[in-house]
Amino acid sequence: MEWPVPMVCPIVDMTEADSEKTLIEAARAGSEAAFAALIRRHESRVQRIAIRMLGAGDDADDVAQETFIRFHDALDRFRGDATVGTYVSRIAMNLSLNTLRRRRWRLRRFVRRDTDELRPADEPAHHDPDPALGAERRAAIVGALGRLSDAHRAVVVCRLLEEYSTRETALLLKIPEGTVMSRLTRALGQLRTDLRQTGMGRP
Amino acid sequence: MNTADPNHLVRAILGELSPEAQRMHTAQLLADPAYRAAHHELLGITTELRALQPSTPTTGLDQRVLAALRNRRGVQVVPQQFWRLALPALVTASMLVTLAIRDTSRVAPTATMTLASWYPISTDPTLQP
Repeated sequence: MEWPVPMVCPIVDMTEADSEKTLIEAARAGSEAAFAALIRRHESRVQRIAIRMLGAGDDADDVAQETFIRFHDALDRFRGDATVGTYVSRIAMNLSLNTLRRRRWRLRRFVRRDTDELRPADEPAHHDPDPALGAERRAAIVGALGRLSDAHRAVVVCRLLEEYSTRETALLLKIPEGTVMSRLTRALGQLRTDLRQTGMGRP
Repeated sequence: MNTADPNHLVRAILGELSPEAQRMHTAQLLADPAYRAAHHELLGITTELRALQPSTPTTGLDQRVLAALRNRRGVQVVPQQFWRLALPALVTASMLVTLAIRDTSRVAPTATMTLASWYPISTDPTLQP
């Protein structure tokens, strides 16, 4: 008896040379492998943005997952005006800001605003690969970053930490380029003041 | 360099100064200790911030996303399955009703008589409309 040849799904070559456009086309056609490859290409940046904005934990995990679900929903509308990296970063940043708003709203209902109980939840968790940076100094910087307003932290994350250009940051956050620079200046000034107040300013 | 620009130090750190502004920035760094200290401090904070790399989990985000999409697709399929079953059922029911109506026409006289026996027509003139 001759067994029927199993149906073979169209194979998507996942080599580095493959353009993102090919992967997007395949994902639009329903290829899960292609969409998984797109996720793997950009997951690290999306996770970093979520963790830097929200701190490591369930919220950041949820934002990372929801980012790619929304990207999947938008595949048909994605025209490639922005790169996939910028596109998913924008989704991740918007979702993070929404989560922060929801989190603050919830906390305000139960915790007095002037207590420091808000702080630990707001401080992003980081892993420092540089042993030269002392633990105390690192904690002070992370704490100061966590005390920035959402808008200022978003600019620091995009422009300084994710190293998007000023123009890309402006597009990503939907603010003028001048506002990116002014917020960044204000944020760095606030970080400097904060570190000085905690005795961690540079001499 | 336009020193009136409050963002000039940040622009210098980001490397966004024009060649002329960069030359003036360098000159001021050499000449002005306060300016040098401010630049040094901001540069230090920037470098330290960049050195803080979050540890991103490597727990198969792609598989979790695909599973979530599959689950959602499954939920969306339910109405289609419902109509696939419901439509033939509705057609069959309407056919049966038609047949039943034809059948009742055959027994109509009996039914009419029965009804008439239940509700006899009154001959009382006071009850006539």
